[in-house]
Formats: sequence, C-alpha cells, structure tokens
Amino acid sequence: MTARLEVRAVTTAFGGIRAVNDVSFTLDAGERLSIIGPNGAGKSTLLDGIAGKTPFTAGCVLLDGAVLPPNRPARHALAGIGRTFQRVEVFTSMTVAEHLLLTLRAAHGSPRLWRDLRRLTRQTKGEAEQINETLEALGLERDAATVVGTLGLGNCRRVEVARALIARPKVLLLDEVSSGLSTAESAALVATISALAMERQMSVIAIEHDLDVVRAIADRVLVMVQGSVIANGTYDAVMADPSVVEAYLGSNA
Amino acid sequence: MGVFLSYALPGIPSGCAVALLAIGLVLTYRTTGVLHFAFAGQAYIAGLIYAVMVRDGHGTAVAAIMAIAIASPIIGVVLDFALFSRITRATATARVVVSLVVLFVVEQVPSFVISSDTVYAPPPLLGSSATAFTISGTAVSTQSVGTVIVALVSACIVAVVVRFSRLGLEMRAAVESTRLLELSGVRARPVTSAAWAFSSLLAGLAGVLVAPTLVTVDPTSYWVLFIGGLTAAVIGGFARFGWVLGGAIGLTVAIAVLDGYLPQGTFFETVIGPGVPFVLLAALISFHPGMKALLAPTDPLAGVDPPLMTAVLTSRTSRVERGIGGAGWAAVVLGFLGIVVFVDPATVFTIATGVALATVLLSVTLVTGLSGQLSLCQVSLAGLGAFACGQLDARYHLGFYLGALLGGAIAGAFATLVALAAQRLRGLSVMLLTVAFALLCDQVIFPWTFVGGGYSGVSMPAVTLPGIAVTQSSRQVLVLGLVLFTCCGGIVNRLKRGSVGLFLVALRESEAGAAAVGVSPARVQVVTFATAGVLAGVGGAFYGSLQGIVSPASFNIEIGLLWLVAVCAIGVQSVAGALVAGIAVAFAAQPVTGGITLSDWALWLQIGLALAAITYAWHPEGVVEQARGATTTVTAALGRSRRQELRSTEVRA
Ligand SMILES: Nc1ncnc2c1ncn2[C@@H]1O[C@H](COP(=O)(O)OP(=O)(O)OP(=O)(O)O)[C@@H](O)[C@H]1O
Ligand SMILES: [Mg+2]
Repeated sequence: MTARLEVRAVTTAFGGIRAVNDVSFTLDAGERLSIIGPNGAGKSTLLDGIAGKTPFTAGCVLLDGAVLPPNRPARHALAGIGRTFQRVEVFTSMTVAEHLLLTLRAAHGSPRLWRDLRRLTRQTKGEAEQINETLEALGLERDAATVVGTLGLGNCRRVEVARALIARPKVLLLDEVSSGLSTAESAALVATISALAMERQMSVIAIEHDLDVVRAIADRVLVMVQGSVIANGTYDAVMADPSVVEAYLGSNA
Repeated sequence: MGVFLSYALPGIPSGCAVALLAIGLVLTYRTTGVLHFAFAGQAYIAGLIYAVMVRDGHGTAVAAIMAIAIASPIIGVVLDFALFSRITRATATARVVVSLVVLFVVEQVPSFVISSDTVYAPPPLLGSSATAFTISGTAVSTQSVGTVIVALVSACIVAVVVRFSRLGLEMRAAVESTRLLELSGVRARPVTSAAWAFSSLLAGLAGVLVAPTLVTVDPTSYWVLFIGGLTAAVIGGFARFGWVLGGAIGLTVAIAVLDGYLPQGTFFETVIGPGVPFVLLAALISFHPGMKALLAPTDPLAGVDPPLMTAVLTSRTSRVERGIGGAGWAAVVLGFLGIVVFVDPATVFTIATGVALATVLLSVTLVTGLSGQLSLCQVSLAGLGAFACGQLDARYHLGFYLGALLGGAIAGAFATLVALAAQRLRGLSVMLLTVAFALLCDQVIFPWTFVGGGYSGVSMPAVTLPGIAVTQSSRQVLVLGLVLFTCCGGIVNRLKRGSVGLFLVALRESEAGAAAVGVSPARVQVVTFATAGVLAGVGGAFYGSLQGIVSPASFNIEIGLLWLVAVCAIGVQSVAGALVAGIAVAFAAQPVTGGITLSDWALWLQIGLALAAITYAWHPEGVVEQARGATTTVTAALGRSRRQELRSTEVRA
C-alpha cells in the first residue's frame, strides 16, 4: 500500500545554509505527525517545501504515490494539501466567510469569468451550508461577517485552519497553530482537528513548540535539529531519546 | 572587418551614455527601492539646460557644470525630500506611479520655462568631430573618445563608492531597512539623499553626453536612451554594475551593427530591425532569473508596522453606501441628460471622447485597481483595437460595430500574449514587460503601414445608428457611448463582485495565502489581462471612431502616461473613477498647439491631475473613493455602521 504522503530525501539550501538536510518520512492516511525542534531547525522550511512554496534543492514529495510538481503551491493545494502559516497569511479586507468562500471557489482551479459575467457566482445554498458547518466546527460562527484585518492573532489562526479545512484536504499542514491561542482555546482547536482527522481520514503534520499540544495532537513525533531528523517515533519514545534531550537542553540553556 | 567597424564603433559612445543612465537606474533602485522612470526626464532636463546655455553663449564647461553638477543633484535631492522620502512605506506600485508622475511633469516643465522652439543639438562637452585616430578606415572622433573616457571613469567611481566606501555600505543598508540602519547609529536621511543626488548626477551626465549626438533635444530621444538603459539594467538583473555596463555598450553596438547590415528599405529594415531591442527586452524580462524576484526590497522591520488600513475602510460596501452609490449614479445620469439637452456640440463631442476614454480606462480599473498590477500598455491595446477596426473597415467594409468587436478581440489576444509572457513574473517585472510591449507597439507595430496606415493614418468607420443621421458631435453618439460604457462598467463590476474579484483581492493581500487555497496567480493574471485587453480594444475603437483619423501618435506611451496619471489620481478602483478620469483627460488633452500659455486651462487641469496623482502613494483609492469615504462618514454618524466599528478596532490595535 502506498503511503498518503511520502517525503523522499528532501534538501533545501539557501546559499550555503542547508535549512533542510536529506529528510525522509512517510505518513499514512489519517495519521497525525508533529514536528518539533529548536528555532531555526528548518521545520517551517520543510513544511513550505511540502506545500510547494519553496523549491527543494533535491528530493521530492509524493501524494498517494504521485510526485507533486515542485514549487507550485496552488497545484499542491488543489491536489489536496491544506496549510496554515507561521506568520499568518490572511486577506485583511475580506470577511471570515469570504475566506472560506474563496477556498470553495478556488477548488475549481481557474477564475469563473463566464459565470461571473452571468452573475452565477453568488453564494449558493450548498456553499453557505459548508461555510457554516466549518465555522461552527472552529467556533467562528459569530465572526462570519467580521473583516479579518480586525481580528486578533488567535482568531486569524483559526481562520487559516478553517480556510484549509473547508477544502477537505488529504493532508493538513499546521505551522505553530497554537501560538497566540490560550491553553483552553488551543485544546479545543486540537480536539476539533483530531476529530476531523479521524472522521475524514485526513493526515496532519503539525509543527509545535508547546509539548502539551504535541502530546495531544500527534500519533508520532519527528524531531529536527539543524535541518536533519534526529528522531522519529511515538511521543514517549522520542522524549526518552538521549540525543533529543541533549538537543533540547542545548538549545534552551 | 572595415564595414563591421564602421557600424560598430559609432555605437560605443552612445552605449556609454546609456550605461551611465542604466547605472543610475540600478543605483537608485538598489539604494532607495524606487524604479525611477523619471530619469528619462531628468536626463532630458540636463541635456536641455546644457544645450540652451551653450546656445545662449555660455561656455561648454560652465554649461556642463551647471547641468550636471548643480541642477541634476538638486533635482534628485528635491525629489527625495519632497516625494520619495515620504512614501517609503507605500507599495512598489505606488512608488512607480509617483515616479511616472514626476516624468510626466518634468517633461512638461521646459515648455513654459524656456520658449517652446526646438532646441538643436549642442556642441560636445569634450573633444570635437576632429579625428582622434582611425581603425580599419573608420575615423574615431575626439568627442567619442572623450565620451567613452568620461563614462568609464564615472562607472569606476560608482563601483568603488558602492563597493568600498562607508557611504556605499550605508546606502546598501538603507535599502534593506532604513530603520535598522538608524538603530545602528547612522542617520538614514542624509544617506538616501546622497544616493538620490549621486544617481541623479549620473542621469544628468548621461543626458549631457548624449545631447550632441541627437538631432534635437526632445523628450522622445531621451525615452529611447532610457529604454536602452532599462534593458541594460535588466541584463544586470538590477544588481551587477559590470553586467550593466557591458550590457549597455554591447546592446547599443549590436543594434547599430544590425541596423547597418539589414537591407535598406525592406520589411526587415523598417519593422524587424527596430523591433529587436524591444523583443529582446521582453525576453530578458521574461526569462532572466533575476527578474522573477524584482520586487521592492522589503523591510525586515516592516512587521512591526501596523497594516495599512485605508483599503479596508474604503472598499467595503454596506447597504447605506450602496444607496449613496445609487444616488450618485442617478445624479451622473441626470447630469448627462442635462448635457445632452443643453450643451453645445463641441462640448458634447469632448464629453463623448471622454466617455470613450473612460471605457479604455476601465481596463486600468481591472488591471491596476483590482489586481494591483501597474500596466503601461493599455494605451497600446486601445491603439490595436482602433487600428484593427479601421483597417478591417478599409479592407472589408465591416463598419464600426463589427470592427470594434473584432478590434476588442484582437487587443484581447495581444493582452493574453503579454500575460502569458509574464506568467512567471510578479509586480514590477510585469510592469516592465508591459513597458516593453508598449514600446514595441509605439516604435515598431504602429509605424508599420499595414497597421498604423503610415503618414496619413487610418481613417476610422463612423458610428452609425439605424434610421438617424449622426455626426461625431451628435448627442446620440454621446448616448451610445454611455451605453457602451455602462455595459463595460457592468462587466468590471460583475467581475469585481464575483469570484474573479475575490481572487484578485486575495492575491493582492496575501499571495502566499491565496496560493495555499489553490488560486494560481498566473491564471488569474491571464484572465484579467485578457478581459482588460478586450475593454481597451473596444474603447479604443470607439475613441478612434470619434477622432475620425487615428495615427500612431494617438496611442503613444506618453499619451498612455497621461491616461494613467489621470485615472490613478481620480480613482483606479471604481467604475465611477474611470468615468470621471476619462472625461478629465478628454478636457485636459484639448489641443495645446501654438505654444502653451499659463492661461490655458487644459494645462492647469493637467497640473491638477499630476498633483492629485502624487497622492496615489497615500491614497491608492483615489479622489473619487475619498469623496465617497467622506459621505459614508456622514452616514456613519447617523447609524452605527460597520465602518465605525472598524475604525474603533483599528485604534485599539
Ligand atoms: N528565505 C530564506 N533565505 C535564507 N535563509 C532562510 C530562508 N528561510 C529560512 N532560512 C533559514 O533556514 C533556517 C531554517 O529556518 P526555519 O524557518 O525553517 O526554521 P524553523 O525550524 O521553522 O524555526 P522557528 O521555530 O523559529 O519557526 C534558518 O537558519 C533560517 O534563517
Ligand atoms: Mg518556523
């Protein structure tokens, strides 16, 4: 059986720096992986690569056994990779509901020029239902008509998650989604994502600094230090690994 | 060999002047983040000062010092102080708009400072036409030698200053982040001023060096020089001075050689040859790896700035605003009805012309207003539409309506080509590509008799109406124009409110975010450019039909500049803005032949537009939207609108 996502010997170099150095791993459908590591370990760079945002210097990513074209983020999105960003990338003048509508519309690939001209692009009932459902799942229903530029960081993160989820991605990539949220809020968010991952067989890769969140969200943990994977296993196994302890104490000291 | 050299050698001195301009361009871009189109104008001014002073009996040395060492740096510093230092936080597009406004203004200034007679080429600053030495039978004048020496020495000085001096280091740091520079204890203002003075001096030097080689000292000659400089800057990826220098000289020589070898009087000589530089420029922009990333340098400290909120506050429409908008449009319609009934035919004609222009400007609304992409080729697309309509009528008697439709289709097809060529590009690089296309039309496609009709121009089919005899100044034609404008405006509005608009806003506000949900910038760019091309083509055909005869001069890039300045000033984000701008342009472009006088109100209108366009950097939404914003503030006081909540949250944030 092919894995849902396979990351194959991926390297990303910026000039002389190898931000990601020969990383390989696989992810099954519905599996939840957390990537941890000190600042500058290359976690975000790896995620950007998987999402097609930054090109790889070497290696490739396969979704359901098919190689994804490098450096084409829109194609990756349409192929079923949803994501959030470490520095939120929202559309400041759009409302929360419009963010979700945009995702639904974008699922068709090209802008619908002809339908626009015939005014057929007003929101349909089906779209409204999907939007409401997603907003409720994330506790954003009260903010549906709020302009995102006026929301706080925590809500912006939730908007990003909602925007990714409504496309029903096969793989969801989360970059420090709990930062900016209170403990209770992040617990609720993690619960929602976990439940959806079960229900939709959606795989999740979550970069996290908060170890409580890591324990709650992940079936498996991958530890990166200076671009390389130094450990890959269950939470308890990884935390017991001496090299991980050393890397963490080294960076925190 | 002798023949080759006789073609190649004369190219070297002008290549050197081009190189100076190019280095100035790169220097300004590197140190201040402004892609400064107005260098074309600044070089022109310097050349003009030199030529006029020498004509009026001053020595060449005095004139050169005045033009190069005094006037040019002062202009640079004044521009920095008055404009560019105040818009460092504006988008790259906004900064280019301001630079274009400066170009526009600078080219107008001489016509009222000195008399408007033609200024002929001055004698050279260094050397003369006396032969310095001869290579394989080709004489090289001392003037050429002087030019080359001056250019090379200046290029070396620039390289040394930028690479090794403290000032150079600070200038390079300033472009990364003026605030980081200040945090490290350097005052940033003097540094950017120095950068402006220095690069303006180079522009002035290029302007003076090239003046003696021209026939007359006029803006168009300097445009050509500037385009050479731009191409050289692209060759160097806006970064490497050595490549820029070599590129400028190599390019100029290559063009001179090509020009020499192409058989005289053939299609190759008249069309293909002159087209090479522009096609080359377009290809370089499309494929040069450095151009993909040619975006305004971003300040690492920009994250600490509050986001620019003006767009949010002015682009949301509540029900109240729609009501006001409706009332506004009703007033416009009533106004036009009044005009139709009461005003004299000449004014009706001007207004109809304005409405036709407004249709063309709707394409700017789509491309620049909605997708935030500056395009300088909308005027050329309008020209393509008009010429196609006229030529089709001349050959196949298709009449106005079918001709305009086909003209729109042809313009749309060309716009699609431009967008496809720009697929890999974003932002400023796309704009440069539109410049290359506009110039290709300007210098090559339109002058080609098959398209532009040669000296006599193309006579356009008149608008006909079933059962009514109409002339160009008939009131019915104005009504027809309004119908056309309303249809096209409706298209723009539907796109704006539909999914295309949603995609465009998303791309403008976060390209990464848009891509993450599957919006492909390249595809959206193609759709907007193509649609805008059709609008421009149809509008251009109607405009041409009103003019009766169109020639290449009706659609050159300078005219496009006036259009762009007007629509940016008045409102590039709305249909209403396009309408007002079109009418303003029609009045501002009233013939000003026979010398400009200060009592000429068309001139004042142009000045007003230019001044208003400068505010684009702070208010990209334009005057019309600002006025609408004012009306909504009033209504917000009446009922609590969402707008007011926005304001309060903004204050808290
Ligand atoms: N565009 C870029 N150009 C050059 N270097 C980069 C670029 N992006 C990231 N880097 C470098 O790559 C390394 C990895 O960065 P990355 O953002 O992936 O780390 P991270 O693990 O996500 O860290 P954090 O926990 O702080 O988010 C860092 O040294 C960073 O400076
Ligand atoms: Mg990161």
